[in-house]
Amino acid sequence: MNSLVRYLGWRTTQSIGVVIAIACINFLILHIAPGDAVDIMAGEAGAGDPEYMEALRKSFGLDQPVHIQLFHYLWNLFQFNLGYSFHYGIPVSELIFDKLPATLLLMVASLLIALLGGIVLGVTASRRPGSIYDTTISLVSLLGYATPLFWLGLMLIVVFSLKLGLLPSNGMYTIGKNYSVWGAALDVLHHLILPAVTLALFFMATYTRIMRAQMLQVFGQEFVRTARSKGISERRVVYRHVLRNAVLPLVSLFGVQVGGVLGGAVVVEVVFGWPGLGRLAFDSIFQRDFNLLMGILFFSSVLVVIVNLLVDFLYALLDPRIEVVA
Amino acid sequence: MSILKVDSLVTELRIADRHFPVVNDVSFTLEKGETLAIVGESGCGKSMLAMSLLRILPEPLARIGSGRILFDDRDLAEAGVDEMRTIRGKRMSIIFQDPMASLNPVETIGNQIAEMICEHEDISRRDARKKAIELLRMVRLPDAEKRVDEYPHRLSGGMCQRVMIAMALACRPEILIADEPTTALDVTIQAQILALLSNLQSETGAAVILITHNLAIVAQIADRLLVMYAGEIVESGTVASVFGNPRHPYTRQLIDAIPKGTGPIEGEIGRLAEIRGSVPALDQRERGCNFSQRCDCAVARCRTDKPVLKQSSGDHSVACFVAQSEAA
Repeated sequence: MNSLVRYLGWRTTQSIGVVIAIACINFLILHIAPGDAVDIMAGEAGAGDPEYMEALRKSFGLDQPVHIQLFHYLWNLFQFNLGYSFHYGIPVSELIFDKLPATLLLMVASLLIALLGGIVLGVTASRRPGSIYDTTISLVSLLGYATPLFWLGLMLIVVFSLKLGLLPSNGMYTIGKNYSVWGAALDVLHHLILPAVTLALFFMATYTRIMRAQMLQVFGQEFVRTARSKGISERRVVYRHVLRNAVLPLVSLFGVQVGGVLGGAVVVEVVFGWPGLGRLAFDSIFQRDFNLLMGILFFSSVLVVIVNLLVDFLYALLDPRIEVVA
Repeated sequence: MSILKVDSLVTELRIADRHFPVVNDVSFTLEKGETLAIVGESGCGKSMLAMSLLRILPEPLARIGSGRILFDDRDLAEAGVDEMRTIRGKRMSIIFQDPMASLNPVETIGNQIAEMICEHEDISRRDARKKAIELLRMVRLPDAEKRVDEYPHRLSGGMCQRVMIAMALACRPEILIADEPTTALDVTIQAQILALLSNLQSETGAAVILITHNLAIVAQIADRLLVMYAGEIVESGTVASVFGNPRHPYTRQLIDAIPKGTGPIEGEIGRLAEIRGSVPALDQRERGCNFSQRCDCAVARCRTDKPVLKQSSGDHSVACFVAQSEAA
């Protein structure tokens, strides 16, 4: 147990270093891009008085050299201060925490769909390799793997919203309706289906393919033969012995892909008008709202780092062969 | 009294939609409580035979083509999945060559033994665990109470094989198949495991089918032996008669190939005898005797006709034209 605590401490220290590096890189990359918030504000106002623009830059601190700005940025981060949004004029952290629940809901829902679907389909395909089930599942997952998210989202809208009228195509709530708590939850769930499924399909395809390959590999191992020789049911052999071993690589892949899911969420939120972080980030790019964008990027990277940390611990719990060494 | 009677068993392997017999027309009986050794080079179909008996062949790659496996007058070759489940582990169990790979790496050894017990006996989880500890003591695993919660990777190969033996004997099976139980272990551990196996056999009265390519082990602990070559039995008999008077050229060469430990000069190891060539591949087995290409005594008939296993004296049988004509 003691070694686990030390391991936790060491990994957390490492993660802080990673997060600082990410903050610097985010900052520098965004400053390479031409234009700043003041240019956009002047553009939106229709005209720009150069003196007024200078004054604005000065008030935002945008007139200072890049390294001074970076220093200020890091110093503020250190104090858990993500700054003010140029565009909205309110603290970035407020904006982020306002939009965070929607994005988390979308991410958790699609990751659950992707994991469960991927495991079930992968296991099914591996039970009878070369059968019609296997071929169908492999083909569909290849398609899911190769289809761009935005196109898939649009097609789902066409089929389920426009043609069948079953599911809403936009937003998170039905506007202008007063629901009870349960009614509201159901309403959100109803709106969640299309975006969550869209986001899930790509990852589900990946998980299905990996799960199938892993299952087949584990099926060939000797302890599976031992399990069969014990007289236990084939179902127990598959789920208790093979699946437990085959699912391990999926866990580490899961940690790596959380970042990808966040990236995918940006596209899906824009397509489905889902009021989350992804759309906020998307808008902030066009508004050159660097403080907001950097805040979101920073926050996302912290999220990904934390999830990876958790996945490492989960892995150590699931696989006794991994010994925690600090 | 025989408890297992295998009758003209054929096990086939499917390669590119063709079926090749890897166990070809094998018949033998197993007496209650005896140790029957099956010997032969790698690729002779020994393990395939073992897996056929328990019906744990890697389907659909391999399958039983024909023949009968009579266990208590029930034909296991025809038995359904549910019936086989009541036999596997409970009445007939198996241990494998590589003990480290034969245990599930993410389960404690105690749980793996308890799973076997819970499957076949009406017993609570806690009692199953107690019984697992007893079994681990029985196979002389040191610190059994502590080790019961260890994962296989924390144990040595010899310890893992003890765990496998404990698991295989958990339900007091009538037949224990040991498929090269000591091949992956080093020599001192081999001797310990073999001693353990024969002790437990006399304690439990189980019949043992010992599959090995180590003839020294056979001489040490087996009662009877079957010599297999290319999926067929070429010679069978009691250990005393086969070792004392090997009839088949293959058996003779196998016995000659046992390292003697002394050479021309005292203490020096002489050149090891070998059997030239190797077991013919499945698609290269022809009409005649499979061993004829490697045999020094082969006559013209050996390449055209297949010799069948014929009793030569008492319990001793051989499938070789030359040996059979010598006897006649």
